[in-house]
Amino acid sequence: MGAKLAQAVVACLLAASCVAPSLCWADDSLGSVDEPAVPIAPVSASGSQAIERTPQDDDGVEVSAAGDAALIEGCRFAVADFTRSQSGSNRAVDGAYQGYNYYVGTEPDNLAVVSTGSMAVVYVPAATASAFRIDLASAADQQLLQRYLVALDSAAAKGSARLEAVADWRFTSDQRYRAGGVEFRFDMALQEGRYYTCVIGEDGGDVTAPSHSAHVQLAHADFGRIVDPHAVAIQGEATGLEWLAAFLADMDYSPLWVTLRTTGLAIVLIFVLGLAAAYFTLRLPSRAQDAFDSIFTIPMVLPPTVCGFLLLLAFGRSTALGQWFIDVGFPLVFSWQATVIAAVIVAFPLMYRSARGAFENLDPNMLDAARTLGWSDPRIFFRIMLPLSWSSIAAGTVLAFARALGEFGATLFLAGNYAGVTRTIPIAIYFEWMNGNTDVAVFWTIVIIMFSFVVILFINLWSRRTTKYRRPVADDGPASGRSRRKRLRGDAALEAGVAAAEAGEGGAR
Amino acid sequence: MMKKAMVAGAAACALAGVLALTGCAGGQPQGGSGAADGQPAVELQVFAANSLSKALDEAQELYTSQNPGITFADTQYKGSGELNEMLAAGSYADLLVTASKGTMDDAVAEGYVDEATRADMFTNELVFVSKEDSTLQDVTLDDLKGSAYSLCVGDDSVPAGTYAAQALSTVGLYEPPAADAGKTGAAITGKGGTYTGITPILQTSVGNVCKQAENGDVDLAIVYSSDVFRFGGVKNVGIIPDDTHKPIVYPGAVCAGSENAQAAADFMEWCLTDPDAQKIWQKWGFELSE
Repeated sequence: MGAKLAQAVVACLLAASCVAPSLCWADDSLGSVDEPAVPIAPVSASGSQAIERTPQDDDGVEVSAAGDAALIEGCRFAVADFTRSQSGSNRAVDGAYQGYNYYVGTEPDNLAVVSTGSMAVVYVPAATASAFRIDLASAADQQLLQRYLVALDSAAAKGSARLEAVADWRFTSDQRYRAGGVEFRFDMALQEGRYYTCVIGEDGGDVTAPSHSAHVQLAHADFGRIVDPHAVAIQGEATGLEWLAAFLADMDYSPLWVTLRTTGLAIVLIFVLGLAAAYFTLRLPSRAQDAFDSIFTIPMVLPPTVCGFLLLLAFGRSTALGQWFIDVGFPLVFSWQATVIAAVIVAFPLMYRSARGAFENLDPNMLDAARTLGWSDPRIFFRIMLPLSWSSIAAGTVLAFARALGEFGATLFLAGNYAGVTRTIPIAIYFEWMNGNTDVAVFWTIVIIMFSFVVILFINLWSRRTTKYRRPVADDGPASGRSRRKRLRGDAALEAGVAAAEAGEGGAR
Repeated sequence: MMKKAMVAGAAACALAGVLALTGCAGGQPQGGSGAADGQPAVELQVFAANSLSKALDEAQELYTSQNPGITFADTQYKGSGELNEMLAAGSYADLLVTASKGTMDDAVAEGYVDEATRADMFTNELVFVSKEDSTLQDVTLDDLKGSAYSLCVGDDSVPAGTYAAQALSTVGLYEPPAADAGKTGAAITGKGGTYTGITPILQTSVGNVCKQAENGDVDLAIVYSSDVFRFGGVKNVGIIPDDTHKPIVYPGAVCAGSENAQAAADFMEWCLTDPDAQKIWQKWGFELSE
């Protein structure tokens, strides 16, 4: 029953939090680009003429959502399996220096472009060129290839150097193409069934070394395959609900479970420890009381990073205590327990102070009266102290809960950021944002807002229910009337005392 | 009656709490080697430089698909200095990859890693980046002199920050500490000095540095060229010449306390030699070290 309720609550939360992002993001998603092809301006055969284009000009090329395929409507070929390489490797392959090399794949006959920033060398395998009747000397075909490559490259560049900016385009079907002392080698089977594209000096030297006479700074390289247009199905980017479904399906929900686990356990410990600390400090002599009070309250005053740092110093590997915990197989740092410890220490003072304040406000005469009637201390605690200070304790619990839920500084210090282990929602928000996953950070922000709201609302409602007896009897329904009668069956004299205290407290307000 | 219930409830809660705490001791991020019979299941814990985040995730996924017995615990991508601090504080790792020789030297000196397994893995390039829609282009180090550009770089614990400090020292914008007075560029460590004539914002990982540029909080940030691709949202507006700073090398080494040293070494070797791995590095802009 409890589990079902918990599931239902979580489900509601998630459902609600899903609606909000879908509303915000629905407009952002790009639909598939479906505009008529613009007329092609002829370029000179050398292809050294830059084409004027605006950044918005998609040039009539449809690029798939994944960025791996492109199609120009009506064109006799399309490009698929497109990949972009930001860098290559200058490492020898199987012990022999092959130049600056890019690994392309296990299949031969790849379309390849190597860009130096100012010059792009495009390689179309001879077999492919003849199969698709591509004439590399014809300006029209060069233009088509260029449009495909620029569109795909721009979609994959993400702020890096783009082919778009390249002015000098060279097209070749030769596996070895030479320009300015540099040899570009394409479709090289340097290993069994492994094809590479290499850039090497005509003298076999390393052209990426500034000391080489034909030094060239390589920008990036693109690879793909020229395929039949019917083989390419362009999937537009998912929009609205589809996007949301994919987003939610890919989501790592572990921060939610970690947070629930941490906060749930922490609030139980805080509740018990806070009440116990408040109860026991109350009975100490006043000097000791002040000292303990300061110790119990200081985590609230200190920045959480200080708490985390001190805990790390205390429990880290460099201390005997920390080493002992590691030796017994219960390391306290960077482990799941650490999130709970951090949350408890940082949120504990809120509970402690609320409870202590409430206990101090109780009428000592009433507690003495209970003692004269022979009540034991636990009975006094549970039957008089707790019920009378319940609203303050509930408020303290809410505050401590909120603090534990939002704990970041000490947790990060002591527990680190291990997904599924110590990555709570606040930590996930920060690191997802930092790693460029703003969508995920927004999702968790919404989840935590809703979660906090629901929990606090629940505690408020519950605390109202549990303090219902305070209201005049006339307001109560028959149910609470019954409970009141039941209560009256208890110790009548004390009950009257409680009522008197209630009245006094009410008057004070 | 009610009192007893409450006491019992409180006791149960406290007990549950304690049990959960101790019971979860096994849930810590340690790669324990699993059942010995049949396939040995190994979970590797990797600590890697922040800039490697997406590329290394992809490589780990591919490695797991090729070697089903080997999985990876959540890899920690932090500034290299911070990774060393975590190791110092007692966290467990099988493999450490940092973004500079200096940080790996520290790890070797402190005994966090097994020096025999150390190898240079990747190289990278330092660039200026700016917000995606920025109109800046071809920015050079000299342009920063006496300019009003706001700048963000990594702090002393971030290798990208120390490389940036070395590069800025060549144009007189960074004063090395007294021990290195008069030296510039690759001759200094880039730590412990002061910026002069410019007041950069300092961040604790290269990812944070890049974010500042992406948000437009600063005009320019100095990051690796691979970060441009990793984050998107920023634009490469100028390359910082290689000869103004120490070579950017990512050394890797198996950690001294690793319980899966062989598996970690195998993974490292795979990263350096497998063509499919190379495909991933070149996609994300990491050049394999020679």
